[in-house]
Amino acid sequence: MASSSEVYVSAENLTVIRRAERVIAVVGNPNTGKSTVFNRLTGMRQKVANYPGVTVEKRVGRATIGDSAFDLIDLPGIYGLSPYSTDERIAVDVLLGRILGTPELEGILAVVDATRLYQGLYLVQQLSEMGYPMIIALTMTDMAHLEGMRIDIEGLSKRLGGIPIFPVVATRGSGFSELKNAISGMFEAVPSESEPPVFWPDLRHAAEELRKRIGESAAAFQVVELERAIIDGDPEIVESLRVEAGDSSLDYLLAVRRDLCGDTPPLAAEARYRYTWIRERLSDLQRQISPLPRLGRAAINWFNQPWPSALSFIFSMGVVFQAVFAWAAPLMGMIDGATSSLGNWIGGVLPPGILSSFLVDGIVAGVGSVVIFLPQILILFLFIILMEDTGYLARAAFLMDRAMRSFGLSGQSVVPLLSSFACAVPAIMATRVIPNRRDRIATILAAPFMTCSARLPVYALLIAAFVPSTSFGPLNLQGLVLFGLYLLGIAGGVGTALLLKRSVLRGSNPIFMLALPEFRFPDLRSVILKLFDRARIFLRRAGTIIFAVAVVVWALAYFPRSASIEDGRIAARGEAALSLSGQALQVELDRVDNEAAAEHLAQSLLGRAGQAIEPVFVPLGWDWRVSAAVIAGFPAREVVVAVLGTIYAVGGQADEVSLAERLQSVTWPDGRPIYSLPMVLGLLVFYAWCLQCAATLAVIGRETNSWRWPVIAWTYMTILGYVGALTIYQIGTA
Amino acid sequence: MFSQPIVRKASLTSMDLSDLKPNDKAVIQSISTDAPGVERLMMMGLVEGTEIVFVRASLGGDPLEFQVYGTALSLRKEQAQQFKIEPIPING
Repeated sequence: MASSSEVYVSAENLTVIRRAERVIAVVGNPNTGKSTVFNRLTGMRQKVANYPGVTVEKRVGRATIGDSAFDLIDLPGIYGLSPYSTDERIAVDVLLGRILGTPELEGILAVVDATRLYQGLYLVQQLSEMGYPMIIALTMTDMAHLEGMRIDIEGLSKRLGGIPIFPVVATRGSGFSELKNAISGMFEAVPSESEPPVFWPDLRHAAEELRKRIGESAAAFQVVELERAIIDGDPEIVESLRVEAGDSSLDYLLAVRRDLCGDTPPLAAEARYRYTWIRERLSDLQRQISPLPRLGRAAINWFNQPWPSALSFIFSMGVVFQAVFAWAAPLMGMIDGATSSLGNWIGGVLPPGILSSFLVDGIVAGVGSVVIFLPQILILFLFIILMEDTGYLARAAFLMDRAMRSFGLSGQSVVPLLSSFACAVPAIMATRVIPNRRDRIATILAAPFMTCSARLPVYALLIAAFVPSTSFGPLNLQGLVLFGLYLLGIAGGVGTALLLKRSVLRGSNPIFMLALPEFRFPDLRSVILKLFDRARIFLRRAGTIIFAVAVVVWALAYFPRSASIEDGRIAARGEAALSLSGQALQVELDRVDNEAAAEHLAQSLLGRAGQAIEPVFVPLGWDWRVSAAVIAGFPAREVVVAVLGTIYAVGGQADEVSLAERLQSVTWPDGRPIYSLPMVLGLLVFYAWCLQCAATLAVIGRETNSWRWPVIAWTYMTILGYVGALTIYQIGTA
Repeated sequence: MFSQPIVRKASLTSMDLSDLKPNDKAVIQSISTDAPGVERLMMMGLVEGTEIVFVRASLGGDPLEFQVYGTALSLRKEQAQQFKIEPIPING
């Protein structure tokens, strides 16, 4: 009990014992069950935030073991201390103590997958040389056993210079009481005993040599930092070396590097040395007996063949879409029903006027438009998480890599792009699996082109109203047009990706290295935690923006309020009540209300904006009403149906049939129909290509960590939609 | 002090990882360490002396799946070509 960071409190106050918790990093290769170990140790007591300036999630949890507590940081998976992606960079920076706002580490819990011992031990060597107290949790021991692998754990621990190793099965929780005991005791060892071993002494010597040559200014650098500078030439460390110790220090750096590695790239030299070390030390500690025959394994192996794999991929994506559309629909119906009855109830209780309108059309409708997304977003996220955690996502990437490369992307883009046929928001969040930044941005900008579920109501309305339901054999024209719109979205997305990859995002992707994890059953607790996280991110980031924008659109459609229209409405209702009764009265009252709503909208800011901007849209065949509806739809495209309902005085809640009938009858002043076929087709193209979704823009901003990309995406897609609609209308009417 | 592991010179056979047939086993003999992305793969254990199994090719023959130290890895053909190998005869 000699730890310096404890505060002693008298016995009566035992319940309020406080101490600065020891901070332990949980580090391991990707897919080792690291997060499952973390979740087992911390339970639900975890905080998720972002590291400053990046979208990498910072996961911190508290583990209480006996009467002591530890703060655990779950770092992104790494293979070594030489980072290749943003996630890996963060993990390494935290280990080197280079991230502000992240508490200083005091110990390391290394998670090593028993079925992939060599890669785990490569990392363990490097971690050990950092000098922190360390213990190893050996996961997947059950799998290793099934595969016929027998490991002498005690012998291994000895070879590693006494780093304690604890076999665990994270999904079942076995081995965790021993692991916890070890964690609570890991800081109690006498320092001299716990001096961690150095596995590549030559590198340590080189770093010390460098330190000697630099002189006193070297005191600012940890020996591990100097080692990383020798191996990776980490630009940050190299730059601070130059600043602290002058240009000559760089010559020293190159000199010791040449002494250590000769002409071999240092990282290659390191890999050679460390893997040779592991192979030589491990050969007598690890026995391979013939693996137990397992039916599941044979089946999975068969399914991983190219063609079965392709069929199962098509089947799984089919299930995902079925689920997103079929399961979400009833929930969305319920949410829709609940919002409108809440709105009706408020409208009934409060007198008509600004407060009632603000609450019903602003607040309730705004919240509703956020919550309505949740069912399909959650279902889609659930499937994406399941695909991640079973290892299927990597398999899909392996399967589709060749095909996606012809669009300038890689296999890892395929699931995000397919997901965006349901909703671009979770799809864009799922692009985090793409390690290459250029590929990731190209995928993010292609995703909003895919026909998402919010486009469907608009398509359905316009197609039902204006495309004749003629059939050519088994093919129906309306179906063909809908299919064509899907193709148009795909063409837009793929074309955009190609264009970007050939211009601003040009560059080869030399590092397409994909680990293909074994199929494994997902850990329910981890899946639920991840699902909650993503729902929370959606509600916080996208939800607040959708809500704010909904309120703004309400205000634009409400102000200024004309008293004379309101007086006229009340007078007309009074007249109707005198002459009519029963059903006929109700119909007449609705007609009067709808007419008044249309008049209000016409002279509202939104209506005026539509009239002001009409000249811009006249070449597309749109009058001010269409223009106003399209403007109102920019925050959320599906809103356009309700706005058209209001603007044409059939009511915001009107069913599509009556709205469609009304649209067919509206004309320009000279009697030509506004909704001519070229205009409708143009409008459909506009909706296929235009980025009318505040949630997507917010998520693009968050995921690319800049305002540049959402602005570019919005401008580009709006121009593309406009030009598409313009071209079709002009050709169609020429 | 400088006990570098011995790196064997490129073998006379000029086979590389992309020349294997499914389920073929091989030992990595030499590596073009300067090719892009190769260091990363070496970090994953693809170094001289490592035993590697070619599992299968994806649709269209690329990328390729290998088994290295218990991990299944996917490499594109152009990366696989940077690793010269010596095949291990079956039953050998």
